[in-house]
Amino acid sequence: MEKYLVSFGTGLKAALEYRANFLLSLLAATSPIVIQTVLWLALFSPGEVLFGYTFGQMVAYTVLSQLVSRLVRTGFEYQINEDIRTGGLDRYLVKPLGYAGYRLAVFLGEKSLQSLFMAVILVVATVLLSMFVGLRIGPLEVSVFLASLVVALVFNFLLFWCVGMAGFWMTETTFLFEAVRIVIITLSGGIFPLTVFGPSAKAVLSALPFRFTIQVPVDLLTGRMATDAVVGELLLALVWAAALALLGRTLWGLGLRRFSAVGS
Amino acid sequence: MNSLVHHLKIWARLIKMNLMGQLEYRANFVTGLLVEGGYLIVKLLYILVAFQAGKTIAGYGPDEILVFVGTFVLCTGFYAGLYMMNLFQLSTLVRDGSFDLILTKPVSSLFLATFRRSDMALFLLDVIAGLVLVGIGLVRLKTHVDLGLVVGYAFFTASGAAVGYALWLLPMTIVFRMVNADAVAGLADSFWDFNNVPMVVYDHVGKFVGVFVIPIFVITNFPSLFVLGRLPVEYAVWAFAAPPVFLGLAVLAWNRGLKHYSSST
Repeated sequence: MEKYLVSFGTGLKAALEYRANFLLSLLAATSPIVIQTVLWLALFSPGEVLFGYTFGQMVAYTVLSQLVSRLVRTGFEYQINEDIRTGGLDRYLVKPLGYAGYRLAVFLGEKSLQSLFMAVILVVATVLLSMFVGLRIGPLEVSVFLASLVVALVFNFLLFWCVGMAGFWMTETTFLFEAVRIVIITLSGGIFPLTVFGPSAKAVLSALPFRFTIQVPVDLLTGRMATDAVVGELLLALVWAAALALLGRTLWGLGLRRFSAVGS
Repeated sequence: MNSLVHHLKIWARLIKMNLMGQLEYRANFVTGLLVEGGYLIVKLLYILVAFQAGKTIAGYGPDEILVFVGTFVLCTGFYAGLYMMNLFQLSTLVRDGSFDLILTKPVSSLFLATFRRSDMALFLLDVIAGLVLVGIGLVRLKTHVDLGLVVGYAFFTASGAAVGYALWLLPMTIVFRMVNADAVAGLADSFWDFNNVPMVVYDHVGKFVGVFVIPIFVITNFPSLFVLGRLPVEYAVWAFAAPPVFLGLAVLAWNRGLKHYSSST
């Protein structure tokens, strides 16, 4: 356990070192928030419900989904690819720690500091949203949101762990990772709520697990999803996570058979 | 003039070399198209919202919005195909000292650093998709397309591309003072998305800032306003003036930034 705590510390230090980078990336989140808020201002008439959202709910969704999407965002898949491509992975294979566990610990270490920054911003955002669009958030919503956020982080880690395994079969994966990231963010409700896609598409997208990373945490925080549905939703997310873990393990096993530590 | 021709010839060579390199790694070529396809889907979502809502925004209906977003997609071809990779690599070039090599070449460092990489696949994908969207929008609006309209649209698009290049370059000149400017590139990139929705949705202050102060709206809104016959005269005049003004500022900022460059090798 201690070795993973040290790995967690490594991630924490990396996040400290690149804190300005993370804060600037949060600043980049303001563009879509401004763009979409202006769009909603132009589209909504007073008291109107569009795509199942009132104006206040839609603005709240826009702000919170951008923040959550930044928080759950991964990046370790590029490091996995680098380790495979350069042969540096063999350094980890000979050590008495699991590579997936190491990457998860580093990832959570990085996210722990970012979560602190994010907590402050989320508090400010929710206060502003309650003042200007009447968003009401109680301790129950905050609690289930935090629980769903942990699930979202683990789920996203497993998802991109599986994506990162492509490095065993492809030499250059930067574009692939980016393409997958865009599609997953869209399917997670990270651009617009899934109701925008229309009832049929929404039904399909709701059956897929991607919404657990953005739409579900945001809907729980804003109270759009009943809190008594939380247990069922989180259990479903965990089932999907278990399936992803199994897939990731299989891909890791298959990939390792191809790995020849070229360059190390 | 000779210098311009010289640089254009080099640029043509660079484009050819990049294309050859891309075709050598075909999987990358295809996944590159997938990425741009993904971004294209995100832009199309804005059209979906306009059509699903079925509303008129400041007198512009869904078909007009289609023309705006189509033009945005087309202009993104210039950005993604010609500038973007250079934008994201500039920070690395300075950080690892590769920029030294650029300084030793007998051509403008600005030209070489910002035009050395290109991706014709992304360029063509966006330009073709953009033209198709604009075409559908204009047909649905029953707009009469003649040579004047095409030439005017091409001029305002070219003017927007030049302003877009300058607006992208200005923040990136900070790269010579910051060790890690990756997030600055990300920030500059995010501003591009302000064109996801037509400028008509912004209020007077927003429009003024977006047209004259940080002229992000010049890039993709002016060509659309022109073909829709709604471009105000002052905007048309500004489309002539903005490129030299902002390109001049960008070159000035680049030259000043260069003085702060210290090689890491």
